[in-house]
Amino acid sequence: MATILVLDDSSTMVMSLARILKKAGYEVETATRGQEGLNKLGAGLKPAAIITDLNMPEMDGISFIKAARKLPSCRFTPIIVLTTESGLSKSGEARAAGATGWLTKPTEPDTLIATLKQLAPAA
Amino acid sequence: MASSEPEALSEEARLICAILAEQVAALCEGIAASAVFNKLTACGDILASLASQLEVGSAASRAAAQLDKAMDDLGFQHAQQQDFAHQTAELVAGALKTLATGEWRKLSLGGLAALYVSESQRRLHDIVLAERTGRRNMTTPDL
Repeated sequence: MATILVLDDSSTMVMSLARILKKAGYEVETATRGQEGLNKLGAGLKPAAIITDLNMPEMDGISFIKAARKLPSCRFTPIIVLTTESGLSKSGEARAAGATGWLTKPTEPDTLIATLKQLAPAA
Repeated sequence: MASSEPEALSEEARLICAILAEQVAALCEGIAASAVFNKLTACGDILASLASQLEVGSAASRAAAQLDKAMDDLGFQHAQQQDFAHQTAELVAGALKTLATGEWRKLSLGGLAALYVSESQRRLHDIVLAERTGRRNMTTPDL
C-alpha cells in the first residue's frame, strides 16, 4: 500500500487529510513541522507522495521542499503543495524548489484524491 | 513646517492595540481547537460502523456510506476554513502587538502585505488602499 507523507502545521488539517487519504486506500505518515517531516524522510520513510502546506512556522513549505529534494530517496517523489496561496509567483517559486503539483485551499477531497492518484496510485 | 516623521501612537492607543492583540490571540486559540472537527469525525465513524452492519449494497448501506463521505467532506472544508481563519487571526494579532510596542514604526503597508498568506487577503488590502488613498494594485501584481 502506498504511503503519503502529510505536512501541515494545522493539526486539524493533518487529521482531516489522514482520514480522507486512508479511506482512499493510502497509508499515511504525518508531521506538523518541516523538520519533523525531514526527520521522517531521513530515517528511511519512502512515501509515494508528499502533501505539504506552504505557510508554516520555523520552516516554510518552500524550504522543506528544497531540503527534501536534497535527500537521494526523495529526489523524484511527487510533492503536492496544498496552500491558501494562489499567486503565480508563489506557485512558480514552489515549482522551482521542486514541487510537482499545486492545490489551493479550499479544495475538495475528490480533487485532492484525483490529483494524488495521477501521481501516486494507492495500490 | 510639516515633519515627514510619522506621529507616535498615544499611550492609550498603544494600550488599545495591546488589548486587542490579546483578544485576537485568545480567538486564535479558540479557532485552533478542533472540537467541531472531532464531532464530525465521531459522527462519520458511527455512520461507517452502521454501514458495515447493513446488508451490502442495500439502499440503507449506500445512504450511510454517502452520509459518512459527506461528513468527511464537511470536516475537510471545516479544517481548511479553520486553517485560514487561524492564519489570519495570527497575522492581525502580530500586527497589533507591533503597534502596541515601541516597534510600531517597523510596521509599514509593504510589511503588512508581506505577512499575508492568500491572494484574497492581498486583494482586500488593495481594495482598502484604493478606497482610502486612490493607490491601486500594490500587492497583487500577478493577478
